Amino acid sequence: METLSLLIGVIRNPELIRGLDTEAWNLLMAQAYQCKLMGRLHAIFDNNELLDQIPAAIAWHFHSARVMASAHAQDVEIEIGKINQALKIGGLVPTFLKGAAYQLADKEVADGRLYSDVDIFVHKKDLPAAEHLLKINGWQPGDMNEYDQQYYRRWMHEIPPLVHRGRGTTLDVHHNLLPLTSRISLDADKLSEGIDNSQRVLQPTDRILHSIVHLLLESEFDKGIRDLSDIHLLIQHHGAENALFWDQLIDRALELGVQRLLFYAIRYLQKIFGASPPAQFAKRLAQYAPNKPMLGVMDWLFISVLSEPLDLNKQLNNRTAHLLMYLRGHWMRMPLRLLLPHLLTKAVSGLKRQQDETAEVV
Amino acid sequence: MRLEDAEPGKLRDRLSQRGLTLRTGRFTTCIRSSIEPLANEIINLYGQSELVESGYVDFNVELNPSSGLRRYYRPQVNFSFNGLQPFAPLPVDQCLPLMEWGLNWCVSTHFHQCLIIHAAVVEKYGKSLVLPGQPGSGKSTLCAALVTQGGFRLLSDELTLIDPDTGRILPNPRPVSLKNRSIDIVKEINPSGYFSSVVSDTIKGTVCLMAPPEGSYTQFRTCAEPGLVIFPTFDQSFTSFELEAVTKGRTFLELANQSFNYSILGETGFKAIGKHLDFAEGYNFRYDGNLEQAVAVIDEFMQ
Repeated sequence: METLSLLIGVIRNPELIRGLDTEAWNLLMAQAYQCKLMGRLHAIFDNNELLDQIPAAIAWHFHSARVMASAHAQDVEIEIGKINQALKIGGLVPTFLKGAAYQLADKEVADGRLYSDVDIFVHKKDLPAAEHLLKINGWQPGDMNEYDQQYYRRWMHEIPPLVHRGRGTTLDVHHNLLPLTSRISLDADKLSEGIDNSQRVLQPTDRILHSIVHLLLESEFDKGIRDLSDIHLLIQHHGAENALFWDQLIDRALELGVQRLLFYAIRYLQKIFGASPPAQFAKRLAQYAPNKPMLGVMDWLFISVLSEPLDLNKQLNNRTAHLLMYLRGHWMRMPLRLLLPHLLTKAVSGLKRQQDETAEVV
Repeated sequence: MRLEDAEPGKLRDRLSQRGLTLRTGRFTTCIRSSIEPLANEIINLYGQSELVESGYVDFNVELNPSSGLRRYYRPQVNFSFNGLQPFAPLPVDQCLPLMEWGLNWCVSTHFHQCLIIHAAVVEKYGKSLVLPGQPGSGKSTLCAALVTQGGFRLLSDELTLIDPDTGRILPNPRPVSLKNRSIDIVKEINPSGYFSSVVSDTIKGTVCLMAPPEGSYTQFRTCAEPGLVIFPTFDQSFTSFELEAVTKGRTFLELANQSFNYSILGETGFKAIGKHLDFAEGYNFRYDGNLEQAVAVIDEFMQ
């Protein structure tokens, strides 16, 4: 796989598809499938009245992806209803995060997007009640070994994923926004102040910062370009809607202590998607940049992993960048004395893993 | 040009280098693999398939050995679709079944223009015969017998594609997958056919793939009108056969239950089964394993 320049180029300027030849279409589809952006491309082409520019022989790929995305959206809506219903009895109101929040509050991001699970946040003090209510309503802990269970309970910001008995859907219940061991912490209490209760989602700046923090502290970037594109759509939309948005975004990042990450996110949105935030905002944000050599390294790493998915057949550069970012992600989330035993345990259990995982899918 | 008309060395090179692009059923697939024995199996099973020199590619797949220590210790093969690996790796000798399962997965998870039902489907007299069935029901055996003995045309042995607008079946002819005891039974009734090497100890037991009869692949554009939906049950304790009508409602539910994407399509899926059953009728078919008789009975019933 080559760099994602074609896919990124088409997202930046959808009109490009008017001139694509067969080989370019093949490459575009391969890249969009790899990055799980087929549905979003269909939505983009639809919004730009370009659907008739897709060659007839392959139009079904884009259409089917949108059909799948609509089905996901419906499932998420149903799931949101069921979760609310289950928790209401205990007087609990969950806050929906990530994809489910887009579905509730950011339709332009949700359109064409796929979901693998629903994420909610409840206060730590409400967690036992929430778990109990979810359990009696059919959500049960998924298949997970003892080590992983313990790991989640002790160090993570969420409990082990729950799977609904009847519907097979996955629910992540967060009681914090980042792992408890993380070098950067997002204060759950501060974030929750901004919860918009009518929608039960974080306020827009916090939604965006939450997405940014998640993407930039990742260890694996297989959905990196999709997530970056989500953030791009979010800032475009809220920036256009609210003149004060840009200042609020920096203010809020400072309050939450994630200004450096905001700086990186905006920088790579500019470099990769050609985002153009107001000059004043960019200037104010620049003071939170790291020093020059550090910035050089981060530029290479982030741009590599975001615009070139990991490919084991690829040259060393790509694999090195992904490996370093894998280690960085873990490093950022855990102190070394926890990280080393954890990675070792994962490596051993990875070798022991048998073929039974294949059974269900084929 | 068909695969079998091309220079085998050239096909092998393509497979291991930029990828071998061929028609797999109604789709175009580019396959890359460095696993040598796979080349011969592809050439034999898809020999009558079109070799695609240039054009749009529906699915990019790779079958490559797992890296690292796995190269030396119990080597494994990975299936990847545009760089994504939807399955855990399997022992390298299961490369061919993994490729076929992977190609089924490509269709069933991405093609939502049709309702997709887990069923074999064949055609005769312009009409389709859908054979849903749990593993062990003898659906693949019956399907193989119908296409090799009964002059039925293979539309698919695994994925029945129903067009929601017309209720017609879209063909997706690919090799027939045989399991366990049915392998020897089908080899016996089709001595001149091509059978892949037999792979044992897969998650589905022992598996072997059979090339469908001459002409099956080329008619992938010719749809079939709704005809029959037959739910086969292979019952050794039984003698002779029994054919019993199933109500529309029951048939509807069975088809919806066996569908891969009914919940994704929603109303469209409902419409597809409805359209199909406006014309097609459902039957339970219990038989003792006498394939010659089964083929004759079904043929007569189709007319």
